[in-house]
Amino acid sequence: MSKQNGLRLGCTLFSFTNEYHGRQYSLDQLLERVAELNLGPGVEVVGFQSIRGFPAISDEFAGRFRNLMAKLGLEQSCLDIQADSLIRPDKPMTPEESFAYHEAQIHAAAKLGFPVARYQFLAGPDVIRRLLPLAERLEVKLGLEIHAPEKVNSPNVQMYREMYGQVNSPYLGFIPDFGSTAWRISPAFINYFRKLGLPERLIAIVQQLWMQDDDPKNPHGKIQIFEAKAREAGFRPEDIAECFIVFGLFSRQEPRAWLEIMPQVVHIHSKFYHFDENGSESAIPYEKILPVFVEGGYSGFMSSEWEGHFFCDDPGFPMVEAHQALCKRILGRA
Amino acid sequence: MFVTRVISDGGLRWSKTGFDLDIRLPWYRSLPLSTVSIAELKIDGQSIAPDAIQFELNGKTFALDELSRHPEEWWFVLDSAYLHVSGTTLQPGTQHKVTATVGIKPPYIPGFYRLTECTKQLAVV
Repeated sequence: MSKQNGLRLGCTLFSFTNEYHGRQYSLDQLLERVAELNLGPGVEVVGFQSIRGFPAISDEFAGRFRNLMAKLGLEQSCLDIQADSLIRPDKPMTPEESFAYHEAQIHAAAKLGFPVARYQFLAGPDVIRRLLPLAERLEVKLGLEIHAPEKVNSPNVQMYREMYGQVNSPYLGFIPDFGSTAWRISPAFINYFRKLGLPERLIAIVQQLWMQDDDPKNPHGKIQIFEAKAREAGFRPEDIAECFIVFGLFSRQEPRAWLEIMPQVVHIHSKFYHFDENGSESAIPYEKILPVFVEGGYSGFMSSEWEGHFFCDDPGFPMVEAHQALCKRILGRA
Repeated sequence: MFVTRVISDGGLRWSKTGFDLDIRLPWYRSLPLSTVSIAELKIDGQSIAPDAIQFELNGKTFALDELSRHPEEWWFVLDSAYLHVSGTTLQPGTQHKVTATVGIKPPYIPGFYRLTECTKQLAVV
Protein backbone atom coordinates (compact mmCIF):
# COMPACT_ATOMS: atom_id res chain seq x y z
CA MET A 1 0.00 0.00 0.00
CA SER A 2 1.34 3.42 -0.89
CA LYS A 3 2.09 5.80 1.95
CA GLN A 4 0.97 9.14 0.57
CA ASN A 5 0.62 12.18 2.75
CA GLY A 6 -2.10 14.76 2.98
CA LEU A 7 -5.82 14.57 2.52
CA ARG A 8 -6.73 11.83 0.06
CA LEU A 9 -10.07 11.32 -1.61
CA GLY A 10 -12.28 8.28 -1.77
CA CYS A 11 -15.83 7.23 -1.11
CA THR A 12 -17.90 4.94 1.04
CA LEU A 13 -20.04 2.32 -0.67
CA PHE A 14 -22.81 3.54 1.66
CA SER A 15 -23.25 6.38 -0.86
CA PHE A 16 -24.59 3.81 -3.33
CA THR A 17 -27.22 2.33 -1.02
CA ASN A 18 -29.96 3.06 -3.57
CA GLU A 19 -28.17 1.12 -6.33
CA TYR A 20 -27.11 -1.68 -4.00
CA HIS A 21 -30.34 -2.15 -2.04
CA GLY A 22 -32.19 -2.02 -5.37
CA ARG A 23 -30.04 -4.98 -6.54
CA GLN A 24 -28.73 -3.02 -9.53
CA TYR A 25 -25.11 -3.37 -8.41
CA SER A 26 -23.43 -6.14 -6.44
CA LEU A 27 -20.49 -5.39 -4.13
CA ASP A 28 -18.01 -6.28 -6.91
CA GLN A 29 -19.89 -4.18 -9.45
CA LEU A 30 -19.90 -1.18 -7.09
CA LEU A 31 -16.13 -1.45 -6.71
CA GLU A 32 -15.67 -1.75 -10.48
CA ARG A 33 -17.83 1.34 -11.07
CA VAL A 34 -15.99 3.32 -8.36
CA ALA A 35 -12.71 2.56 -10.15
CA GLU A 36 -14.14 3.28 -13.58
CA LEU A 37 -15.45 6.72 -12.50
CA ASN A 38 -12.22 7.43 -10.59
CA LEU A 39 -14.05 7.97 -7.27
CA GLY A 40 -11.27 6.40 -5.19
CA PRO A 41 -8.65 5.53 -4.41
CA GLY A 42 -10.00 5.18 -0.86
CA VAL A 43 -12.91 2.78 -0.39
CA GLU A 44 -14.90 2.52 2.82
CA VAL A 45 -17.28 -0.35 3.47
CA VAL A 46 -20.07 -0.88 6.03
CA GLY A 47 -19.48 -4.45 7.16
CA PHE A 48 -23.11 -5.26 7.90
CA GLN A 49 -24.17 -3.80 4.56
CA SER A 50 -21.75 -5.21 2.04
CA ILE A 51 -20.79 -8.58 3.51
CA ARG A 52 -23.15 -11.50 4.03
CA GLY A 53 -22.54 -13.19 7.37
CA PHE A 54 -20.42 -10.27 8.71
CA PRO A 55 -18.36 -10.22 10.88
CA ALA A 56 -17.41 -13.78 9.86
CA ILE A 57 -15.09 -13.44 6.85
CA SER A 58 -14.12 -16.56 4.92
CA ASP A 59 -10.61 -16.88 3.50
CA GLU A 60 -12.16 -17.15 0.07
CA PHE A 61 -14.10 -13.87 0.45
CA ALA A 62 -11.11 -12.00 1.90
CA GLY A 63 -8.86 -13.19 -0.93
CA ARG A 64 -11.35 -12.25 -3.61
CA PHE A 65 -12.01 -8.81 -2.08
CA ARG A 66 -8.31 -7.98 -1.67
CA ASN A 67 -7.51 -9.14 -5.21
CA LEU A 68 -10.31 -7.13 -6.76
CA MET A 69 -9.36 -3.98 -4.82
CA ALA A 70 -5.72 -4.33 -5.93
CA LYS A 71 -6.66 -5.09 -9.52
CA LEU A 72 -8.85 -1.97 -9.64
CA GLY A 73 -6.18 0.27 -8.07
CA LEU A 74 -8.37 0.95 -5.03
CA GLU A 75 -7.27 1.11 -1.40
CA GLN A 76 -9.11 0.00 1.71
CA SER A 77 -9.66 3.16 3.79
CA CYS A 78 -12.08 2.31 6.60
CA LEU A 79 -14.37 -0.52 7.65
CA ASP A 80 -17.47 0.62 9.51
CA ILE A 81 -18.09 -1.58 12.53
CA GLN A 82 -21.09 -1.27 14.81
CA ALA A 83 -21.94 -1.22 18.49
CA ASP A 84 -25.14 -3.26 18.26
CA SER A 85 -25.73 -3.32 22.02
CA LEU A 86 -29.48 -3.61 21.58
CA ILE A 87 -29.67 -6.77 19.47
CA ARG A 88 -31.96 -7.92 22.26
CA PRO A 89 -33.86 -4.65 22.65
CA ASP A 90 -34.91 -5.37 26.24
CA LYS A 91 -31.55 -6.77 27.39
CA PRO A 92 -28.53 -4.67 26.37
CA MET A 93 -25.19 -6.43 25.88
CA THR A 94 -22.90 -6.74 28.84
CA PRO A 95 -19.43 -5.17 28.48
CA GLU A 96 -18.08 -8.71 27.92
CA GLU A 97 -20.51 -9.34 25.08
CA SER A 98 -19.82 -5.93 23.56
CA PHE A 99 -16.07 -6.59 23.75
CA ALA A 100 -16.46 -9.90 21.90
CA TYR A 101 -18.80 -8.30 19.36
CA HIS A 102 -16.23 -5.60 18.55
CA GLU A 103 -13.30 -8.02 18.67
CA ALA A 104 -14.76 -10.08 15.82
CA GLN A 105 -15.32 -6.97 13.71
CA ILE A 106 -11.76 -5.69 14.25
CA HIS A 107 -10.47 -9.08 13.12
CA ALA A 108 -12.65 -8.71 10.02
CA ALA A 109 -11.10 -5.29 9.31
CA ALA A 110 -7.60 -6.73 9.54
CA LYS A 111 -8.44 -9.72 7.39
CA LEU A 112 -9.84 -7.49 4.65
CA GLY A 113 -6.88 -5.08 4.80
CA PHE A 114 -8.58 -2.02 6.32
CA PRO A 115 -6.19 0.22 8.30
CA VAL A 116 -9.04 1.94 10.19
CA ALA A 117 -12.26 0.69 11.79
CA ARG A 118 -15.02 3.21 12.47
CA TYR A 119 -16.72 2.53 15.82
CA GLN A 120 -19.76 4.06 17.53
CA PHE A 121 -20.52 5.78 20.86
CA LEU A 122 -22.45 2.89 22.30
CA ALA A 123 -19.23 0.85 22.52
CA GLY A 124 -18.20 2.88 25.58
CA PRO A 125 -14.67 4.04 26.48
CA ASP A 126 -13.96 1.03 28.71
CA VAL A 127 -14.62 -1.55 26.00
CA ILE A 128 -12.55 0.44 23.48
CA ARG A 129 -9.69 0.77 25.94
CA ARG A 130 -9.70 -3.01 26.42
CA LEU A 131 -9.68 -3.51 22.64
CA LEU A 132 -6.58 -1.35 22.17
CA PRO A 133 -4.00 -4.17 22.50
CA LEU A 134 -5.84 -6.10 19.77
CA ALA A 135 -6.01 -2.99 17.55
CA GLU A 136 -2.27 -2.40 18.03
CA ARG A 137 -1.42 -6.03 17.32
CA LEU A 138 -3.57 -6.15 14.16
CA GLU A 139 -2.56 -2.60 13.16
CA VAL A 140 -6.14 -1.39 12.82
CA LYS A 141 -6.81 2.12 14.13
CA LEU A 142 -10.10 2.54 15.97
CA GLY A 143 -11.92 5.76 15.12
CA LEU A 144 -14.95 7.07 16.99
CA GLU A 145 -17.36 8.67 14.54
CA ILE A 146 -18.36 12.15 15.73
CA HIS A 147 -21.79 12.33 14.17
CA ALA A 148 -24.53 14.92 14.70
CA PRO A 149 -25.76 15.92 17.22
CA GLU A 150 -22.43 15.16 18.89
CA LYS A 151 -19.64 17.71 18.62
CA VAL A 152 -15.96 17.98 19.45
CA ASN A 153 -16.78 19.09 22.99
CA SER A 154 -20.02 17.29 23.80
CA PRO A 155 -20.03 15.12 26.95
CA ASN A 156 -20.07 11.81 25.03
CA VAL A 157 -17.00 12.85 23.05
CA GLN A 158 -15.25 14.21 26.14
CA MET A 159 -15.45 10.78 27.80
CA TYR A 160 -13.43 9.33 24.95
CA ARG A 161 -11.05 12.29 24.79
CA GLU A 162 -10.23 11.76 28.44
CA MET A 163 -9.59 8.06 27.94
CA TYR A 164 -7.49 8.78 24.82
CA GLY A 165 -5.47 11.27 26.87
CA GLN A 166 -4.70 8.56 29.43
CA VAL A 167 -3.63 5.80 27.04
CA ASN A 168 -2.07 8.06 24.37
CA SER A 169 -2.00 5.58 21.48
CA PRO A 170 -1.96 6.43 17.75
CA TYR A 171 -4.37 3.51 17.33
CA LEU A 172 -7.22 5.45 18.93
CA GLY A 173 -8.73 8.38 17.11
CA PHE A 174 -11.76 10.22 15.77
CA ILE A 175 -13.73 10.31 12.53
CA PRO A 176 -15.47 13.65 11.97
CA ASP A 177 -18.79 13.45 10.14
CA PHE A 178 -19.45 16.77 8.42
CA GLY A 179 -23.18 16.59 9.15
CA SER A 180 -22.20 17.94 12.57
CA THR A 181 -20.72 21.05 10.91
CA ALA A 182 -23.84 22.10 9.00
CA TRP A 183 -25.28 25.62 9.02
CA ARG A 184 -28.86 24.59 8.29
CA ILE A 185 -31.00 21.51 7.68
CA SER A 186 -30.37 20.34 4.14
CA PRO A 187 -33.02 21.59 1.68
CA ALA A 188 -33.14 17.95 0.50
CA PHE A 189 -35.02 17.08 3.69
CA ILE A 190 -37.24 20.16 3.64
CA ASN A 191 -38.23 19.30 0.05
CA TYR A 192 -38.85 15.70 1.10
CA PHE A 193 -41.07 16.77 4.02
CA ARG A 194 -43.12 18.88 1.60
CA LYS A 195 -43.40 15.96 -0.80
CA LEU A 196 -44.72 13.84 2.07
CA GLY A 197 -47.32 16.51 2.67
CA LEU A 198 -46.18 17.49 6.17
CA PRO A 199 -47.82 20.74 7.35
CA GLU A 200 -45.77 23.89 6.62
CA ARG A 201 -46.21 25.02 10.22
CA LEU A 202 -44.64 21.81 11.46
CA ILE A 203 -41.71 22.23 9.05
CA ALA A 204 -41.33 25.78 10.36
CA ILE A 205 -41.13 24.53 13.96
CA VAL A 206 -38.45 22.01 12.97
CA GLN A 207 -36.33 24.66 11.31
CA GLN A 208 -36.80 27.23 14.04
CA LEU A 209 -35.87 24.80 16.80
CA TRP A 210 -32.94 23.43 14.85
CA MET A 211 -31.50 26.96 14.53
CA GLN A 212 -31.57 27.50 18.31
CA ASP A 213 -28.39 26.83 20.23
CA ASP A 214 -27.92 23.31 21.60
CA ASP A 215 -27.70 22.64 25.29
CA PRO A 216 -23.94 21.92 25.41
CA LYS A 217 -24.53 19.33 28.14
CA ASN A 218 -27.20 17.49 26.19
CA PRO A 219 -27.02 17.88 22.43
CA HIS A 220 -29.63 15.12 22.03
CA GLY A 221 -32.21 17.15 23.97
CA LYS A 222 -33.69 18.98 21.00
CA ILE A 223 -35.68 15.96 19.81
CA GLN A 224 -37.67 15.89 23.05
CA ILE A 225 -38.17 19.65 23.01
CA PHE A 226 -39.35 19.45 19.42
CA GLU A 227 -41.68 16.53 20.12
CA ALA A 228 -43.28 18.26 23.10
CA LYS A 229 -43.74 21.51 21.21
CA ALA A 230 -45.16 19.82 18.10
CA ARG A 231 -47.56 17.66 20.12
CA GLU A 232 -48.74 20.69 22.05
CA ALA A 233 -49.45 22.36 18.71
CA GLY A 234 -51.62 19.37 17.81
CA PHE A 235 -49.63 17.74 14.97
CA ARG A 236 -50.06 14.04 14.20
CA PRO A 237 -47.53 11.78 15.99
CA GLU A 238 -46.50 10.10 12.71
CA ASP A 239 -45.80 13.48 11.08
CA ILE A 240 -43.79 14.54 14.11
CA ALA A 241 -41.82 11.26 14.10
CA GLU A 242 -40.94 11.79 10.44
CA CYS A 243 -39.04 14.94 11.41
CA PHE A 244 -36.88 13.45 14.19
CA ILE A 245 -34.18 12.33 11.81
CA VAL A 246 -32.94 15.82 10.94
CA PHE A 247 -31.92 16.41 14.57
CA GLY A 248 -29.69 13.34 14.33
CA LEU A 249 -28.16 14.16 10.95
CA PHE A 250 -27.35 17.85 11.22
CA SER A 251 -25.91 20.03 13.92
CA ARG A 252 -24.13 23.36 14.00
CA GLN A 253 -20.50 23.75 14.89
CA GLU A 254 -17.75 26.09 13.77
CA PRO A 255 -15.60 24.26 11.19
CA ARG A 256 -12.50 25.37 13.10
CA ALA A 257 -13.65 23.32 16.09
CA TRP A 258 -12.16 20.25 14.37
CA LEU A 259 -8.66 21.71 14.90
CA GLU A 260 -8.94 20.80 18.57
CA ILE A 261 -8.80 17.08 17.79
CA MET A 262 -6.98 17.27 14.45
CA PRO A 263 -3.93 15.18 15.49
CA GLN A 264 -6.33 12.38 16.47
CA VAL A 265 -8.37 12.38 13.25
CA VAL A 266 -7.84 9.00 11.53
CA HIS A 267 -10.46 9.22 8.78
CA ILE A 268 -13.23 11.57 7.59
CA HIS A 269 -16.88 11.09 6.68
CA SER A 270 -17.43 13.81 4.13
CA LYS A 271 -21.18 13.81 4.44
CA PHE A 272 -23.30 15.62 1.85
CA TYR A 273 -26.89 15.71 0.67
CA HIS A 274 -27.67 18.32 -1.95
CA PHE A 275 -25.93 20.97 -4.07
CA ASP A 276 -26.92 24.53 -4.85
CA GLU A 277 -26.83 26.01 -8.37
CA ASN A 278 -23.08 26.72 -8.02
CA GLY A 279 -22.21 23.15 -7.11
CA SER A 280 -21.67 23.97 -3.42
CA GLU A 281 -23.23 21.83 -0.70
CA SER A 282 -26.47 23.56 0.30
CA ALA A 283 -26.12 23.08 4.06
CA ILE A 284 -22.52 22.05 4.81
CA PRO A 285 -19.91 24.74 4.19
CA TYR A 286 -17.19 22.76 2.41
CA GLU A 287 -15.43 25.98 1.36
CA LYS A 288 -14.78 26.63 5.06
CA ILE A 289 -14.35 23.05 6.30
CA LEU A 290 -11.76 21.62 3.93
CA PRO A 291 -9.19 24.42 4.42
CA VAL A 292 -9.33 23.68 8.17
CA PHE A 293 -8.18 20.10 7.53
CA VAL A 294 -5.43 21.31 5.18
CA GLU A 295 -4.32 23.89 7.75
CA GLY A 296 -4.42 21.26 10.49
CA GLY A 297 -2.16 18.97 8.46
CA TYR A 298 -4.61 16.09 8.27
CA SER A 299 -3.15 13.08 6.51
CA GLY A 300 -5.46 10.28 5.54
CA PHE A 301 -8.59 9.46 3.58
CA MET A 302 -11.81 11.40 3.29
CA SER A 303 -14.83 9.39 2.12
CA SER A 304 -17.53 11.08 0.08
CA GLU A 305 -20.66 9.99 1.92
CA TRP A 306 -24.07 10.66 0.37
CA GLU A 307 -27.13 9.73 2.40
CA GLY A 308 -29.75 10.23 -0.28
CA HIS A 309 -31.56 6.92 0.30
CA PHE A 310 -33.40 8.61 3.16
CA PHE A 311 -35.24 11.00 0.86
CA CYS A 312 -34.96 9.88 -2.78
CA ASP A 313 -34.34 7.02 -5.20
CA ASP A 314 -31.65 8.79 -7.21
CA PRO A 315 -28.44 6.93 -7.92
CA GLY A 316 -25.42 7.83 -5.78
CA PHE A 317 -22.72 7.76 -8.45
CA PRO A 318 -23.50 11.17 -10.06
CA MET A 319 -23.77 12.70 -6.58
CA VAL A 320 -20.36 11.38 -5.50
CA GLU A 321 -18.86 12.61 -8.78
CA ALA A 322 -20.27 16.09 -8.13
CA HIS A 323 -19.03 16.00 -4.53
CA GLN A 324 -15.51 15.07 -5.50
CA ALA A 325 -15.51 17.78 -8.19
CA LEU A 326 -16.44 20.28 -5.46
CA CYS A 327 -13.73 19.01 -3.10
CA LYS A 328 -11.08 19.05 -5.84
CA ARG A 329 -12.04 22.61 -6.74
CA ILE A 330 -11.71 23.73 -3.10
CA LEU A 331 -8.44 21.84 -2.64
CA GLY A 332 -7.04 23.29 -5.87
CA ARG A 333 -6.79 19.89 -7.53
CA ALA A 334 -9.33 20.43 -10.31
CA MET B 1 -35.90 5.49 -0.44
CA PHE B 2 -37.01 2.64 1.74
CA VAL B 3 -40.67 3.64 1.70
CA THR B 4 -40.94 2.37 -1.89
CA ARG B 5 -38.95 -0.80 -1.32
CA VAL B 6 -40.70 -2.63 1.52
CA ILE B 7 -42.96 -4.46 -0.93
CA SER B 8 -41.08 -5.89 -3.92
CA ASP B 9 -42.47 -5.17 -7.38
CA GLY B 10 -44.14 -8.34 -8.65
CA GLY B 11 -44.05 -9.62 -5.07
CA LEU B 12 -47.71 -10.61 -4.63
CA ARG B 13 -48.08 -14.32 -5.30
CA TRP B 14 -50.89 -16.83 -5.28
CA SER B 15 -50.59 -19.73 -2.84
CA LYS B 16 -52.70 -22.77 -2.07
CA THR B 17 -53.65 -21.45 1.35
CA GLY B 18 -53.92 -17.73 0.56
CA PHE B 19 -51.13 -15.49 -0.78
CA ASP B 20 -47.45 -14.70 -0.32
CA LEU B 21 -45.77 -11.29 -0.26
CA ASP B 22 -42.09 -10.61 -1.02
CA ILE B 23 -40.79 -7.89 1.33
CA ARG B 24 -37.45 -6.14 1.88
CA LEU B 25 -35.70 -4.73 4.92
CA PRO B 26 -36.20 -0.94 5.01
CA TRP B 27 -32.70 -0.10 6.23
CA TYR B 28 -29.23 0.24 4.73
CA ARG B 29 -27.66 -2.70 6.61
CA SER B 30 -28.52 -6.18 7.79
CA LEU B 31 -30.38 -6.51 11.08
CA PRO B 32 -31.23 -9.39 13.40
CA LEU B 33 -34.90 -10.45 13.49
CA SER B 34 -35.14 -9.43 17.15
CA THR B 35 -35.07 -5.79 15.99
CA VAL B 36 -37.66 -6.22 13.22
CA SER B 37 -41.45 -6.33 13.42
CA ILE B 38 -44.30 -6.56 10.95
CA ALA B 39 -46.51 -3.78 12.26
CA GLU B 40 -49.32 -4.15 9.76
CA LEU B 41 -50.38 -5.91 6.57
CA LYS B 42 -53.44 -4.78 4.65
CA ILE B 43 -55.00 -6.02 1.45
CA ASP B 44 -57.57 -3.81 -0.28
CA GLY B 45 -57.87 -1.80 2.92
CA GLN B 46 -58.52 -4.82 5.16
CA SER B 47 -56.06 -5.60 7.95
CA ILE B 48 -54.81 -9.19 8.08
CA ALA B 49 -54.79 -10.70 11.57
CA PRO B 50 -51.18 -11.27 12.74
CA ASP B 51 -51.87 -14.94 13.51
CA ALA B 52 -52.79 -15.53 9.86
CA ILE B 53 -49.27 -14.45 8.80
CA GLN B 54 -46.09 -16.54 8.84
CA PHE B 55 -42.71 -14.86 8.27
CA GLU B 56 -40.13 -16.75 6.20
CA LEU B 57 -36.44 -15.86 6.12
CA ASN B 58 -33.31 -17.89 5.37
CA GLY B 59 -35.52 -20.93 4.71
CA LYS B 60 -37.04 -20.81 8.22
CA THR B 61 -40.57 -19.84 9.17
CA PHE B 62 -41.65 -17.83 12.22
CA ALA B 63 -44.88 -16.57 13.75
CA LEU B 64 -44.89 -12.75 13.83
CA ASP B 65 -44.78 -12.61 17.61
CA GLU B 66 -41.71 -14.87 17.61
CA LEU B 67 -39.45 -12.49 15.69
CA SER B 68 -38.36 -10.63 18.80
CA ARG B 69 -36.98 -13.88 20.20
CA HIS B 70 -34.49 -14.44 17.35
CA PRO B 71 -31.40 -12.26 17.80
CA GLU B 72 -29.34 -14.99 16.09
CA GLU B 73 -31.30 -14.87 12.83
CA TRP B 74 -29.94 -12.16 10.52
CA TRP B 75 -31.85 -10.54 7.70
CA PHE B 76 -29.15 -9.78 5.11
CA VAL B 77 -29.93 -6.47 3.49
CA LEU B 78 -30.14 -7.85 -0.06
CA ASP B 79 -32.44 -10.75 0.77
CA SER B 80 -36.21 -10.93 0.53
CA ALA B 81 -38.35 -12.24 3.36
CA TYR B 82 -41.77 -13.69 2.60
CA LEU B 83 -45.06 -13.19 4.37
CA HIS B 84 -47.25 -16.28 3.98
CA VAL B 85 -50.87 -15.37 4.54
CA SER B 86 -53.54 -17.99 5.06
CA GLY B 87 -57.30 -17.61 4.85
CA THR B 88 -57.42 -14.78 2.29
CA THR B 89 -57.64 -16.19 -1.22
CA LEU B 90 -56.64 -14.07 -4.22
CA GLN B 91 -57.18 -15.05 -7.85
CA PRO B 92 -54.14 -15.01 -10.17
CA GLY B 93 -54.12 -11.97 -12.44
CA THR B 94 -56.37 -9.84 -10.21
CA GLN B 95 -55.20 -6.42 -8.98
CA HIS B 96 -54.95 -5.58 -5.29
CA LYS B 97 -53.83 -2.69 -3.13
CA VAL B 98 -51.29 -4.00 -0.61
CA THR B 99 -49.91 -2.11 2.39
CA ALA B 100 -47.09 -3.45 4.53
CA THR B 101 -45.60 -1.63 7.50
CA VAL B 102 -42.24 -2.83 8.82
CA GLY B 103 -40.84 -1.62 12.13
CA ILE B 104 -37.14 -1.63 12.98
CA LYS B 105 -35.12 -0.78 16.07
CA PRO B 106 -31.54 -0.30 14.86
CA PRO B 107 -29.55 -1.91 17.70
CA TYR B 108 -26.94 0.88 17.83
CA ILE B 109 -29.44 3.76 18.24
CA PRO B 110 -31.08 3.65 21.69
CA GLY B 111 -34.74 4.64 21.69
CA PHE B 112 -35.07 4.83 17.91
CA TYR B 113 -38.06 2.97 16.47
CA ARG B 114 -38.76 3.48 12.80
CA LEU B 115 -41.91 2.43 10.97
CA THR B 116 -41.84 2.29 7.19
CA GLU B 117 -45.20 1.98 5.47
CA CYS B 118 -45.34 0.97 1.81
CA THR B 119 -48.43 0.70 -0.39
CA LYS B 120 -48.45 -0.78 -3.88
CA GLN B 121 -51.03 -1.80 -6.43
CA LEU B 122 -50.01 -5.26 -7.57
CA ALA B 123 -51.30 -8.07 -9.77
CA VAL B 124 -51.31 -11.56 -8.29
CA VAL B 125 -48.76 -13.74 -10.08
